[in-house]
Amino acid sequence: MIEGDISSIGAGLAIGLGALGPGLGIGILAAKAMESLGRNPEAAGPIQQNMILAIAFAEAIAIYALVVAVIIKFV
Amino acid sequence: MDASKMATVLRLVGIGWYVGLCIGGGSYGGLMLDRQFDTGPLLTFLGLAVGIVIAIAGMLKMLMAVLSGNSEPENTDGAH
Amino acid sequence: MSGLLGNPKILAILIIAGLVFLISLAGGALGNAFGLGFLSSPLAAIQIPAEPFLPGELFPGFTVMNTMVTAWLSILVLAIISYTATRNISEVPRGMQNLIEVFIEFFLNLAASIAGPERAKRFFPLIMTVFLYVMISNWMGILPGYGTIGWIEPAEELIHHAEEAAAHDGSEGAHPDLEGIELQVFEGDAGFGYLAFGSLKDQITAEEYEHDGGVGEGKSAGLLIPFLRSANTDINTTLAIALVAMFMVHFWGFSALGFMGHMGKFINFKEGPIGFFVGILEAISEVARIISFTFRLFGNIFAGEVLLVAMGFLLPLIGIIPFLGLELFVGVIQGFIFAMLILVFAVMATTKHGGEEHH
Repeated sequence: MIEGDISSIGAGLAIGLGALGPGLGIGILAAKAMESLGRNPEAAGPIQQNMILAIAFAEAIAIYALVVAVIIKFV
Repeated sequence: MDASKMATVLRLVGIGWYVGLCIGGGSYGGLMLDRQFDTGPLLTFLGLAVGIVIAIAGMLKMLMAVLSGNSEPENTDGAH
Repeated sequence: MSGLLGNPKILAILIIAGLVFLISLAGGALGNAFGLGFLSSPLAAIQIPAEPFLPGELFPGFTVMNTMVTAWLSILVLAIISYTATRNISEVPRGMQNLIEVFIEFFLNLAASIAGPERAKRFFPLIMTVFLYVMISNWMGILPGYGTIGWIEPAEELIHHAEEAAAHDGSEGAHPDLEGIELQVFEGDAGFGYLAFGSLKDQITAEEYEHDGGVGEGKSAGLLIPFLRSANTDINTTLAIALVAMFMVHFWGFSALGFMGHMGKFINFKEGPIGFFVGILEAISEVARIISFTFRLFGNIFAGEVLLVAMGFLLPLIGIIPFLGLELFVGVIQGFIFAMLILVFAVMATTKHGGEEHH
């Protein structure tokens, strides 16, 4: 019924669905950071640093999904 | 684009080309020498390693010249 | 808009950029479908485990991998930088010493703001070393020459491996899938080289190789195995850094709170059964931290490497330019994240149960 390797579907689903959550999370993070930046422009340095730290946490989940997709596809 | 900014941009592009040419030239030279003398990948790898070291050393020197030439107290760490 | 286009310098730059884009589009993988792929090269053979640095064994029982060699190269570069920075230390810093001092001062202030001045001094060597090592390794991984120059694994070996694998896990009479193995063709038979322009056209499958009994004079077929591969694309490297970091965090916890104090966070009888389960969850999360350290760094750098390879395959000359910028940024950020996380965990480990109030 399906031509070819079914593992490609698995790889595509892994990264596709796995990027939904972190994408939303990073968007919410950045929105809150912009809001607090607008309210308190003097604290720009610490706000920026902590925002980047938190974004890297959220992105790590997307990276786990990517690693699973790569493993499915290439191993 | 005023002249001084253009000059800085061109200097940085020059540094990039220097790194690429150093590594490419070093490894390609090693490859050609290896084909001549048939000494296994040793010369290629030596050429690559020497190319990388010269590229990084030259790049750091030129970058520091560009940064101090701008005569601003720049925050050069790029940590975030 | 006419003012922008009217400026002859900008117009010339735009025309040249457009031409370069069209040429690389025609020469790349897309153009190869139309017979035009003069700049193309086959997709590099990507695999997760590291590959041996040289064919055959250098030391008996110990294979040198290509990620090992790049790790040593990063250590060498770091050693050279620190030697030149500390050669003639003077009260008023100049040159390389100035640059390094700016770096270190920025980081020490950041660490002191999170951990307090005395603790920051104690934790600083480990986190700064991890940051510098990860950053230099990641940055060196995008230099030209990493992943493109290597030795050629001959086609006979590949076919041999495929036959062994087919005999190992298939039923009897299983044929290795020779059509699936795509070989790359190289000039000369020296056993090492690089993928030249236009070599996508010369790609043949292992089936054809067997059928033709070879690939002609002066050429060799096989797969390119790179000499150098970025050090953090190997799970072993990132696992090693994660293990060292968590070991030191627990060591600092024990030395600051004593044996019973530190173990009391995980085996917690003082707060009843709920406290006991929370302690067990904490212990599990300590293990999860090691795993997440490993895979965060590995995933970011490996995905970056695969991205660069894929973009270089699709759009030869200019495709990877924006992604190199992304890789630079990601390299620094991942090092920064690793260092800051170790600092935060160390602060949490040296804080008494119930928290301290000063900062």
